[in-house]
Amino acid sequence: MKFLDCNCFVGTPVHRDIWSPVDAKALVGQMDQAGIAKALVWHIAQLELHPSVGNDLLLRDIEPFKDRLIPRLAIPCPHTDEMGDMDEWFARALSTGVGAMQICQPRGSYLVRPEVVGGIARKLLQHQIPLIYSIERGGNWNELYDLLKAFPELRIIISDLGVWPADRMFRPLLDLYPNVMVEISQYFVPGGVESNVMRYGAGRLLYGSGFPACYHGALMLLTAHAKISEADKAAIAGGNLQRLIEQVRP
Amino acid sequence: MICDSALSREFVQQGRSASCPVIDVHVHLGPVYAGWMPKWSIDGLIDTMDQAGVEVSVLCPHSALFSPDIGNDETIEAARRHPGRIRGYLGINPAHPRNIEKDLSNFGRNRDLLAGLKMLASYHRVLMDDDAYRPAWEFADAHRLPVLCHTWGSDGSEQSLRNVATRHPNARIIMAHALHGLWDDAIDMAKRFENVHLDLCAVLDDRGPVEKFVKAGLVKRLLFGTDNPWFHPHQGIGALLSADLTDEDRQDILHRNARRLFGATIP
Repeated sequence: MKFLDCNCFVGTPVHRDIWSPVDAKALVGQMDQAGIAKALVWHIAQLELHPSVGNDLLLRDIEPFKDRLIPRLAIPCPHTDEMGDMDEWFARALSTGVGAMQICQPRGSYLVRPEVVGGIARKLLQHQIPLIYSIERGGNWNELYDLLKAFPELRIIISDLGVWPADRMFRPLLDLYPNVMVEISQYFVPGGVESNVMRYGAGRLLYGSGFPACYHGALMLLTAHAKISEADKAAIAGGNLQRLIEQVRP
Repeated sequence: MICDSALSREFVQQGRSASCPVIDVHVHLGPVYAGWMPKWSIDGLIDTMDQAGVEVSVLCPHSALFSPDIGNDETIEAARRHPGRIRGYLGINPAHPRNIEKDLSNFGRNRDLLAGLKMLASYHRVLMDDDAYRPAWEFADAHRLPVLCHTWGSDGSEQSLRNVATRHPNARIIMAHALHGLWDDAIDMAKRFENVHLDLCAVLDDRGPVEKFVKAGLVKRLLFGTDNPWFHPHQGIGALLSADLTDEDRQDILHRNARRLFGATIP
């Protein structure tokens, strides 16, 4: 089974934590050990310092490993001078081989409301770029519901769900919006994968590890032994992410 | 895949291990306000256990913790239905001392079904060294019972458990979630008190604590717990396979330590 990791990051965090940080080289070493073919990767400085600085650090770090690591770029505020011309910003981002984007939401970040991110949403739709929306890293469900109401076609990957079972939160979105997906690094409720595959098909779930804050193997073992077909496992393990990345339009 | 060890190969290929039958010391059961869980019934729980090679679960149903009107009935019923797979913790709610008195007086009658006590102090808003818990601690001390105690960060459980561990050296304290986040304090507790064990439930979703505990010399004091039906055992087992541990460490954590702690009270 080929695993592609939808959720891992590099860089040194501002605060010390129990987990040890990694750079791109160490990440690839750990991926080799675990058996992960490729990863969509972001940089902690995108969240903790500034999206643009974090993007630069990310691209520099992963440059030697472009065959394994795909950039997940953070989108700066479109209403200040931080982004510059939006068309040019997206053109530059696409030239990096970006696989997905995210809006980091530390204190002081811009609001992810339709009035604020409308231009960004239209560009994401134009290029079919998935937007990764992290619940645990600053997001909230009401905001996400409002965003999708305004832009129902957006390709949204809901990420970092929190470890309490979140089906009551995300299932209404899966019911309403066909392009909404769930990254499962924090979704390990027994029977959850099986139940969602039965209801929505395997195309709505994506393997993610949360590495280096979490272990690669946790959701690998769960995915490998879910009571679903081998084809469905392969889709969750990496097929869905591969398809999404290939569908990004230049 | 995951890591290059015999145990990893066995779990990856089969989802379970004949050489490593898992004992899960932290399990619940039944519906609860906090979220929907597809396999929260007893049949669902047994199915999940089978999937991951969990031989025995020691559980306390949500109803025993959150509904005094139901109390510990489900605990007894679950263990009675599956005597070879399930043992119960008697849920202790300090807000209802008469229930505690009644449950403890019935403990002996159900001794073959019960393995210990469970305390959820911060949810019940009473510290574990409060007088309301005293009858339960005295009972656990007298019968050398395991007591699974919810502990999480600075919720007050650390100091209260230090007091309890001193007063009741024969009670076998299991610090559920190992003081989640206060890893150094958890190590200090386990080193200072021989009757304290660390439960890895919700610890294994962070990378690092289990290696830290093992490096501190505590591998024989670590217990595998999942909160099942909240968390699938494969998540915790997969994390242990990824962690920088030996298969001997994993065997200790996944079943040997629990077998030693619970002795003949589990199948």
